[in-house]
Amino acid sequence: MTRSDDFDPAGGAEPLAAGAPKMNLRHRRVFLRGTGLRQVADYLAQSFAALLGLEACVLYLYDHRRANLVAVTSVGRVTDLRRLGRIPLDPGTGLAALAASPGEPGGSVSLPLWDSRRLLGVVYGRMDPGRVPDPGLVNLARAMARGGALALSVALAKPGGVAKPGGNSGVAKARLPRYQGVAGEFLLNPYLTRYLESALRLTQPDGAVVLALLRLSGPGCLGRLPYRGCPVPAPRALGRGFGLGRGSNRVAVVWLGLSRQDAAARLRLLMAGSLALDDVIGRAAAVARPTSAAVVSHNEDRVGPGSMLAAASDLLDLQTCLQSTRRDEGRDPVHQLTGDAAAVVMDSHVLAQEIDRQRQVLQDAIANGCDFQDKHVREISERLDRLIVVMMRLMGHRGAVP
Amino acid sequence: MAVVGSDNVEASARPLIFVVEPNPFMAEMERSILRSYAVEFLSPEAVVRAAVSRRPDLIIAEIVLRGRDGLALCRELKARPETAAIPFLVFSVVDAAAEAAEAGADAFLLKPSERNALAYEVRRLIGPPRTQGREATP
Repeated sequence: MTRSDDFDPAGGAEPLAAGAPKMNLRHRRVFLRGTGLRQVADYLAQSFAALLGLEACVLYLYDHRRANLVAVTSVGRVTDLRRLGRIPLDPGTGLAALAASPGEPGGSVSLPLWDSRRLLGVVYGRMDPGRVPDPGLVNLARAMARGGALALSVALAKPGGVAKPGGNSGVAKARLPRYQGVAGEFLLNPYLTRYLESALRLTQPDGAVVLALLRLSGPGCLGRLPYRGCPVPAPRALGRGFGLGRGSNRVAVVWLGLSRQDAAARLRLLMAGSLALDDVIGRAAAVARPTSAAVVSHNEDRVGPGSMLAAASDLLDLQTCLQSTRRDEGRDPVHQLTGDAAAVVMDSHVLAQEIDRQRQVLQDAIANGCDFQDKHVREISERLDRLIVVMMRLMGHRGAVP
Repeated sequence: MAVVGSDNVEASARPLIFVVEPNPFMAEMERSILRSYAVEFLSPEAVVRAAVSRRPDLIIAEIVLRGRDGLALCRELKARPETAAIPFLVFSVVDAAAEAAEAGADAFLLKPSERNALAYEVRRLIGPPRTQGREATP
């Protein structure tokens, strides 16, 4: 799915062959000239598939506020490496332990590259002095993927060029003549991974460790929550809140001793506005407003330490994707579960129910006379595929057996 | 159809499986689950030709495919004398076990499934890996 199909890729500038980004060597910056969001997303997905030797790469492209999904694309194996530069893969440090204990080799992984302002720089192997990507994270992706599949979340660095839902004439004017987006360091808070690792190491086998990821909107919401700094104690000493980006984007909270249901209940209150963000995350500006939430529980979902972030990232992207799709279709962005319960917080149970619901829609369409080549059936099937892939990846993280 | 390729690593002593899967992520998962076998990903158009000429040990297909659906594919392969004996596993998002059986499929598996469920079903149909000598095309 790409929501920018109607976006004019020419943008008033000379279009590049196959949407390839052009490097501005003089300024040592990488930018895309005259390309649309679809080309940006496709190019990045293809680049990472090639760089990491992946079978497949799914890329979620967010706007500069890291709140709205503007494109989703997936690519298969890319063999043309000639047009790509080298990627500097120095030995990872902080995440080396995680990379050493991934799931099965060749499996798939979701890499939460929250604010990858330098992704293009990474692709080209060209970094501004003093600003390097987190090599540990790249190594983590490579180690976990090992020729498998990778899901990336990438955000635009600048406003503009973002297609409005449904597309309109304004979209064509919002071009990317000098698109510098997607160049930046991997702003994953290292404290989060360390905290998760130690929490899981210290907790009892049946003890609860819950990771919740929130996508926020509103200006300056992370001003008081350091994006790469030390965690903030969550209220009632339940856990810690973590900043994950410079702008108004994502935060994480790790709760100890709280079940998945209780965590989801708290998040539902938060999403409904009955609970302040401060009461959940610890210290955030009041203007911040959560738009999507996802929860992964160590003991209930049976995910390992290296997979909690990946699974939560998958679920959060999926939640945002579902919301975007529904918004585009003019429906309530909060999808309804069986029994009309609102699914405002995504977790493995909600995902399972959503799969059942979509499958029922598919069965109904077929029962009503649509064949497998029908466009409607294919669209439902693609949506269902997206959900199923996340579920199977979650199952893969668990190492589940039938 | 984004993934078309083959797994030629240590393929000399492994049963050959053709997979028709439109979703690249799902295809990668299937490759990962079936890594003990020689797996090739083919388009619906190519799989019939390849099945006739190379006689794989197993064919796995999704139902919802572009161009020709998986059930029609199954019917055609089962109708051809040279490919009728090749086991056909339908692995689909559509809950259509009865339709798959009617089309002649030897087994049906609904997505999502646990990794081991697919491995078990493949093992049930063609036996464990490394017992037959087949080779995937690089």
